[in-house]
Amino acid sequence: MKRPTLKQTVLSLAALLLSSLLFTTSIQAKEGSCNVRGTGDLGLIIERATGSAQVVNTSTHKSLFRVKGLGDLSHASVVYSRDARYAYVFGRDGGLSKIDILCGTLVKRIVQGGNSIGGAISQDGSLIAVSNYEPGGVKIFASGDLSLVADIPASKVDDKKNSKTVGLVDTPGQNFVFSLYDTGETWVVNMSDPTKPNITRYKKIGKQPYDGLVTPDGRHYIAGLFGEDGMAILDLWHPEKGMRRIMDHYGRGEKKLPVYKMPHLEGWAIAGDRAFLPAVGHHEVLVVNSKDWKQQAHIKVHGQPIFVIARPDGRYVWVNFAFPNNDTVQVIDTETLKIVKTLTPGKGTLHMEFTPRGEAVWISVRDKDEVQIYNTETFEKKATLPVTKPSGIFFTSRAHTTGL
Amino acid sequence: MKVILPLLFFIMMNIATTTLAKTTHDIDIKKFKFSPAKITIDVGDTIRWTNKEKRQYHSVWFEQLGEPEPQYFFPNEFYERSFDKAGDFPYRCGPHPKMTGIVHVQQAGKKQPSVPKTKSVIKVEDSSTAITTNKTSSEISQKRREEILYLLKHDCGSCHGMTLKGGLGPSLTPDSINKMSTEQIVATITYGRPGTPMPPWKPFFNEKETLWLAQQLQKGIEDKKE
Ligand code: HEC
Ligand SMILES: [Cu+2]
Repeated sequence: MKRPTLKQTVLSLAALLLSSLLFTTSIQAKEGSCNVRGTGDLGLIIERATGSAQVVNTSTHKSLFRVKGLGDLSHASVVYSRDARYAYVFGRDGGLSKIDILCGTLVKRIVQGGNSIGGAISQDGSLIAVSNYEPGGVKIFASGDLSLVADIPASKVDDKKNSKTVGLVDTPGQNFVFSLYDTGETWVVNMSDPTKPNITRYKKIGKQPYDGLVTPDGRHYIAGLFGEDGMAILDLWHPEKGMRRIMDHYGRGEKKLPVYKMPHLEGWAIAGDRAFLPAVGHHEVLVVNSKDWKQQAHIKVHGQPIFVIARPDGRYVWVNFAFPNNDTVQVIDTETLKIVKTLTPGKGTLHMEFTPRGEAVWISVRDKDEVQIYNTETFEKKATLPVTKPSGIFFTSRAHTTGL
Repeated sequence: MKVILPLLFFIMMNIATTTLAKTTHDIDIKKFKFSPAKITIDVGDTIRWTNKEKRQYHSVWFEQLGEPEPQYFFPNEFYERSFDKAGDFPYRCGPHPKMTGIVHVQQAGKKQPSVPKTKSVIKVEDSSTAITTNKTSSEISQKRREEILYLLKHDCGSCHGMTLKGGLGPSLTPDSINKMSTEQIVATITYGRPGTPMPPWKPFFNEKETLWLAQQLQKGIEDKKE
């Protein structure tokens, strides 16, 4: 009896053909033909499974370009150059890609580390910092040509590994701030003299910091802790005072629920003098007074919150959730602290981004391969955009926001 | 085991078929269809599936027998198989799950209705044959397996990386986790690792599914793009 033999070459050819068929959708790739326009209403949507990103227009709800070849984007994030023309994409595979969003082209791509998680752009726009899991540490590059400026390995965990670094942000004074997951530290790196990075280390900030954020004024850096209920805060106006703990024991001794996805502290949901933060292991959004950092309230929500983000005017806070509740989005009224709306965009609701002044929010729905656009007053769905396995959405308004 | 047993099955069938007067039936594969999709043959007969597409490859997969997915075959190639047991044998194409067919095998000479009524039940008269191997996977439907792999990629992937090469959680590629036994992997997935972000997945997988998932990790997951 004969069994068919596998013809490797034919198979891979056929697979190539098939995959190119699958991935050429209706987007017009106008490579090389630049638009003469500003970028203020543009943005980038990451397509996590295909290593590509779409350049979108938030005024017309149209996709302008698809940029391919960005590597493993399973956990990608993006920062913008201060002219808001270039997007820097940080990929899981350690890739750092610079995209020209006016032309829809990949300007430069380097693989700078084994496994990166995020990055930041310096106050003056000249430096790009990348936070790496492997080898743990932060590398700093020139934003122009992506040449290496500084390599800052994190504290050693054992003789083979350095701590993973998380929660990397820029702060005023040409600083980068980040936390060390394995060793429970926060480091401030001053890059005023790019040839001499000056590092201040804060130790024992708490167990397993998993992410960090900076307030929009650039004054306070907050690290979320996985290993204990509470957060650590650094007042960058008074770094000499060191880090202190806030919201200790916010779980009030309640049993911790399993966390199927780590929350993100990107962005800062602030409304009046209240700040809204995701609890870890509790299906709650925490409300903190941003003057004294005391906890004011906790709001029961649909699941483990992932992103807790405020509409730019601070009137509402939008929340999405971890698996298995990741089909839902809830909207909290920041005055009454009540949930005013529960939406179900669909399974794999991964990220939300407001347009610069907040009349619309774009929501990526992975399992439907689409991005949904909602009116933030009426909560009506206004449009849907086909995007392959969308994850992060990043609009150019981030170019001028500290910490984003 | 998984490779050897189906082979054994083929060899056994070979021996059986040589002792019987056998006929070879043809099924063409064209335009993503098996034609005929339903066929009735006698015990001992052989079927030859011929790929008559211009450039598309296919496979003939008796998935419900718990066999691993066979190799693809390309235009002008064929795939042959003999049947030495009576019963209904549904099959599909591996890469194209919507392409399905069924082989109804009857005792030679016996007059039986030519089209079987239920197509999902495999009627194997001698249950002690090699057909009942590979239990774990045969009891998890293809759909569920795809769901689990999707979850692995995207939801486990949120901590371990979509390609499982590591993130906040360590790499789960075979060379990284082969230091653990299957039982240890199963226990880690089932109960999580208290004190670390690794959560317990018990609410989402039954024991068989967890075992299957652990085995997939040990084997290595092909990075199928979707
Ligand atoms: C919320 C984050 C998170 C998710 C989601 C997650 N893991 Fe983990 N996993 C971890 C961490 C962190 C560790 C390391 C634990 C430790 O330090 O011992 C780990 C460890 C493991 C290990 C042990 C590896 C080793 O080398 O010790 C296995 C196996 C594993 N995970 C499988 C899975 C599978 C399968 C899934 C999905 C069903 C999954 N994990 C989802 C965070 C996660
Ligand atoms: Cu097929």
